[in-house]
Amino acid sequence: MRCFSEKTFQEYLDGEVSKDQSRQIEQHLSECHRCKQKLVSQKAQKDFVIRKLRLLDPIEMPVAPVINSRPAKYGEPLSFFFGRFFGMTIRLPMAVVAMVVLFLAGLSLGLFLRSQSALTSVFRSKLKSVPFYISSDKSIQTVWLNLDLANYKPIAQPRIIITQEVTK
Amino acid sequence: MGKPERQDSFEAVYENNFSVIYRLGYRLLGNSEQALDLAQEVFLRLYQRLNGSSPVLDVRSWLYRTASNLSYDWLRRKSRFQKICANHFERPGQDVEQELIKAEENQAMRAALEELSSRDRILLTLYQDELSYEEISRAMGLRRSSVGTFISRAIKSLAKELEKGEKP
Repeated sequence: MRCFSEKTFQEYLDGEVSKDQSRQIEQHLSECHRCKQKLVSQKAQKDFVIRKLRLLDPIEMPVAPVINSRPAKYGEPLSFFFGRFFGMTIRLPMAVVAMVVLFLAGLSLGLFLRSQSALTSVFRSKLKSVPFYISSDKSIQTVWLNLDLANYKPIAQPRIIITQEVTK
Repeated sequence: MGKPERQDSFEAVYENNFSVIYRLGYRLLGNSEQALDLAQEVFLRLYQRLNGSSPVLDVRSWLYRTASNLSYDWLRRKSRFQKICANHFERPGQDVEQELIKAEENQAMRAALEELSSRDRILLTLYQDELSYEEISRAMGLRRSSVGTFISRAIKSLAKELEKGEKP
């Protein structure tokens, strides 16, 4: 098997190789003394550099300064209107969904009321049944006429005709 | 109502990553006050970005990238007026001798680092922070496959510079 590159050894040292590749490298290292030496020196160099870099670490870490969790958001018209509502963040998609739901609710309410008015108009119509009496010697006929009082004309055939015998 | 976005909220990101960004700033700028300024500037930018329309897919990589870019801008600006010297490191130490030794080591380390390219300096700083290759590649805009090569080269050149500095 041919020797591995410095890049591969670096990835191996940093645990960035796959299990298969790792197994291949280990197998190669057990056979190739030169590569083993190379890996050892590369690791020593890495540890040395990391140790030296640690010198530049701050001695004391500052506590993260407290920030105002809800700073004013001026200059952003959308967040000005939809920014926060009862402590709840309202984002643009939420606002759009709410608007669509409100629109649909309004539309269906309107349609419902319209259909309601069509239904109630039957009850509120000026249809009346008016009795007419047709009397003769022998009987009195009562004829109930369905009248549309709004137009003053009968709209249907006489509904009920009752004939009463006249007893004299 | 639950708050599912709480984990990814700005406050949570700020609290979890402040010290990391501070440390990065300290290593690159060598001054605790500037590191604090840098961390605040980075989080301010993140806040503005999150409140704007552009989302941040990988917050950690974004923070590293912004922090390193900003600190190099600051260093460039600063170097126009004065030479950066390792004496800017402050140490609240008690032992003067220890302090002097540390100052010398720091100076050597800083001098060696300054010999590297800015890419290698950032790379080593991120590497020291134990970021994965994937995170480093995203933070620095490198290909994932070339991270190993760049790291091994950067380690080699820093070790070489340090050895050079140790020789009289």
